[in-house]
Parts: sequence; C-alpha cells; structure tokens
Amino acid sequence: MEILPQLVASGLVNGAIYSLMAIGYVVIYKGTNVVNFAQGEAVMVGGYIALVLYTVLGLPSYAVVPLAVVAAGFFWLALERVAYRPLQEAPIFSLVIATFAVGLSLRNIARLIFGPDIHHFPPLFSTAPVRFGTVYLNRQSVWIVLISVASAGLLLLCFRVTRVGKAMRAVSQNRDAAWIVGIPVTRYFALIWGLGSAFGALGGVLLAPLVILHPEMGWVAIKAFAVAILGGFESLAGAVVGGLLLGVVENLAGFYVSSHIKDIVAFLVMIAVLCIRPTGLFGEAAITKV
Amino acid sequence: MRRRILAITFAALILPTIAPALNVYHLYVVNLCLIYLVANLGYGLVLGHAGQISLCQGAFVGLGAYLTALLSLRLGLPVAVALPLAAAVTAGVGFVLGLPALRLSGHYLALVTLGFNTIFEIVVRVWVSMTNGSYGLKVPKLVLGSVAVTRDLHFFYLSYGVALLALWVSWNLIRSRVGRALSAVRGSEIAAVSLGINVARAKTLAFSLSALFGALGGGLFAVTIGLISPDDFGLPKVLRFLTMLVVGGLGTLWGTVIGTTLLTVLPEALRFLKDFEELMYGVLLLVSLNLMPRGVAGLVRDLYHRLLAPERAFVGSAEEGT
Repeated sequence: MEILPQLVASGLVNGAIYSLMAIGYVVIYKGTNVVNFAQGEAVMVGGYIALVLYTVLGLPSYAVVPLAVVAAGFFWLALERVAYRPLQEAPIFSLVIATFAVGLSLRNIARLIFGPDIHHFPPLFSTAPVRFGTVYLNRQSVWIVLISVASAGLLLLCFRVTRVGKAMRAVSQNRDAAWIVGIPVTRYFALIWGLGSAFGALGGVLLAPLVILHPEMGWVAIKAFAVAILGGFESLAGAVVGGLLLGVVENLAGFYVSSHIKDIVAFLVMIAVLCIRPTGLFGEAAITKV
Repeated sequence: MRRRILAITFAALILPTIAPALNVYHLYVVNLCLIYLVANLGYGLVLGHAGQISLCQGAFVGLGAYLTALLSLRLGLPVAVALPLAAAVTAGVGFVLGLPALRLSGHYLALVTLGFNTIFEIVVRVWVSMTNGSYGLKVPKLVLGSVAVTRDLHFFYLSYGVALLALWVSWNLIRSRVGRALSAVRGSEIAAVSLGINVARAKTLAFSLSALFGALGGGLFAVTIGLISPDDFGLPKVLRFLTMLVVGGLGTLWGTVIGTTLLTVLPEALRFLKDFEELMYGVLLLVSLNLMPRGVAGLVRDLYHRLLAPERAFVGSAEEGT
C-alpha cells in the first residue's frame, strides 16, 4: 500500500470539513462585512446539538445531520435578533466585538450545561473500510466528503439560481441599492447569519465523530479562518479549494515533518498568505482610491 | 486650564493619602485596579484611539508577567531589572507581531492577535518544564536597593507611580502628532493616507505601546500577586479588558480609568458569580455597545452638557475623542 495517496485521501476528508466551516466565514463576511468571531462556537453548538440528538434522544444518523443543522440555524437566527440586529447601524467595529463576546459567552453556557469535561461522540456512520484503488477510507469518511460536496454544491447553486440566493448576493454587493429595489435587507441579514452559522454547525456535526467535544473546541475554526484567507475571503470556490488544500498539506506535513507541526500548519499558511499574497488564491485586489 | 491642573493634582493626591488607612483586602483591590489600568491604557491606544481590533492584551500582560518571573528565576536577574526588560522584550514581540497584520486593513489584526493569545496560553500550559504549566509559577520577591518589597502598601506606591506615568505618557501621546495621526486613522484610513500620514507606522507604534503597557501591568501583577498561572491571561481576560474599555468609553483616558475601576471592583463584590464570568462580561459588553456606545464617559459627558452647561454643548462635541 502506498502511503502518499492514502495521506492525500484522508487529508481531503478533513479538508472537506474545513471547507464547510470556511464557507460559513465567507458567507457572513461577504454579506455583512463582519468577520464572525463566533464561527468556532457555531461549530461547537452544532456538535453539541448533534450529541444531544444522537445520544440522548437516540435519533438515527440520517436524521441527526439535517436536524442538528436546522436547529443550529434557528438558534443563530434567534441570537442574531438579540445580539447583532440592534447593532446593524453601528460601526462594523462594534459588531465584530459583539461576535467575540457572543462566542466566549457561548463557551461559558456550554460549560454550564455540559460541564468542562470532554464528550466522546460515537461514530455517525459505519466505520467499515471501503477500497478505492490503492486507498482505503472508512464509510464514515466517504459520507463526510459526500455530504460536504453536496451541501457546498447546493449553496453555490442556490446563490446562482434561486430568488433568495440572488437577493442575498444583491445584499452582499450593495446594501443600500438592494434596499432601494425592495429587498428586505434586515431579514436577509438575519438569513445570512443563520446560513453562515449553519454551515459552521454542519462542519461541527461532521467533525464531532472524528474529534472530542468540549466547550473550547471552537478553536478549530481558526483553521477555517486560515482557509478563508487562503481562498481570498470573498470567494466560496476559494473556501472549498483552500479547505481541501489545507487538509492535504496538514496531513502531509504531519507525516513527513512532525506530528507536532500538524496543528501549526494552518498558522504558517495564514502568515505566508498575508505576507506573499494578501488577497488569497481567488481574491481580487481591493482597489482603494486615495 | 489652571483649575484643571489643580483638580488633577488634587485627585492624584487623594489615593496615596487614604491608602495607608485601607485594610489588606481593599488595598489588594486598589492595586489590582492600578495594574489593570496600566494594561488597559495600552490597550485603549490601539482599540480606542487607533480603532484597531486587537485581541491579545491578555497575552501581552502574560508575557510581561512570565518573562519577569522567568528572567529572574532562570537567569538570576534581580526582579527590578527583569521587569523593565520583560516589558521591552514584549514591546518588541508586539512590534514583530503587528508587522504583517498592520500592513493590511480589515480584520487581519483581530485574528492574528486572537491566535497569538490562544497560542500563548497553550504554550504556557504545555511547556511545563519552563513555566510549571497550569500549577502556576511562584514569582521571586522584588528587591529595590537593599529593601525587599513585600508589603501591599509598597506595591501600591509602585503601581501608583507606574499608573500615573502611563497616564501621563498616554495623555501627552494623544495630544501629539502621533495621537492625532491615530485619530485620523480611526476616522478613515484613506483620508489619513491622503493627508500624508504614515498609517502603518502609526498603527505599529500604537500596537507596540499596547504591548509595552500590557507587559508593565503584567510585571506588576506578577510581583504583587506573587503567583501567576495561564488562567490569568487567557481569552476570558481579554474579554474582560475589552469590556472594561467599552463600558468606560472607548477613546477617552478617563473612560479607561472609570471602566477599569468599575469592572475590577464589581467582580470582587460578585465573586459568587465566578462560573458565569464570561457570560456576564459578554452580556455586559453587548448591552453597553447597544445602550451606551460611548461608554460611561460619554454618558456622563452628555448628562453634564444637558444639565449644567447647555451653552457649551457644541464645544463638548468638538472635543470628542480627547
């Protein structure tokens, strides 16, 4: 068995999850100009909702994934109403700080409900191995990739084809113009927060069986942030490609260099992109006229 | 102006006068206020005056504290030397950290600094052989001349001196070319550039100063408390500093003083709510952003103009941001 294709394949599985979380960043940033510092907590909330649905209520896994994502989406819609909407007219600065406060508050709440200890998440899907040529993956990993690809594809399609998607793009491009042509901007803002966070939650649900759940697990979103920077921060395609790329590079670095370096790769990527090509792979240089 | 100077001098003399009469616990709280004030004055320069979101003041304070302790424990330097050295090193770290992120506008600084604070906490926790990990590090005694500083009152005089110094430096800085450049950057980066301001340099300076003040506060924290652990410098602490500044009023010195004092004294009184700490600060921050975006300082200023000096209202609004 060759090791390189195997490393690439399992890197793609992690990468697919990073892509989902990064899509969350991109959707919110494009729509509202705010970097969501609670994105990690969106991941965490998704993971914990899935844990409750799966282990406490005992729902089957094909129901857990969509239900958890929808529930998380509604949770963030409600939170947007209380925490973010009142600041809609305030400077972006305030909103960014608000997301940071929301994120840490949610960690606190998670600690109060679930305790500070870790929770193990049982496998969502069968872990029986599947063979692809020289590469072995387990069924769960295949499902993770399929679900990620399907949901990212659906989102892209939705932005291109549907009325809601087009309206969201309009709001992203120019909020005032969108308002003038009759798009209820405030409602779409809420939708953008809900949608972006739901993608974080989906990442969390799929990530949950691979890692351990704890209130501070939102830290993983920093990798998604690196992905978003790599992809250009305004590009959904960039988020997908960047995520897969980071997943693979991380895995290779972990094997060929040192397993300690695995978690640092994301930072190195982030710093490198900032120094060499701040607009990322797919980003356009912002033209600032002086 | 003269009346103002007199008033400030008077205010500055109150605390040292009553300090000897305070009991040990009250003195501890006062010391904590002063230490946090030093750290927050630095943080306020970046956040309030330059309008840049930095989220690693906890790490700067922690770096100051740990470097002070480690330089004297591992290298045998006297604490009196280690403390300023630690502050200088941290300022250097801040400078280097800010270089890539401050070149770019937007939210890069926020994320780089968020990452830095988290990494700092992890490193301190994991590198047990150096930092003693989560058990915390005992800080050697501060010796000035031939006298070991052990009494809380002495620490008070020390912190008070540093806090006044930090206030004085900030006060002058804000009224200098650099301070005005920072306000311009906060208002509009593009406008600032077109006025010939070197935006990157102004931001880097503010950020380095925030590291310097943070580390000074951290060094004082280390010697005053005597035991430091990674918990003292994590993200919850950053949230706490942030809330202090926002509640007090961003971009005003006395807002920083008010916010720091309020949110140091209040949690001491509400100790039983320890498990809800982040939630409490988070909610307070959100409420404050909504109801009083200019903080207590802004609120007091508005009230003052409305009730006492309506005819000066215009002058007041023009002075905003001082």
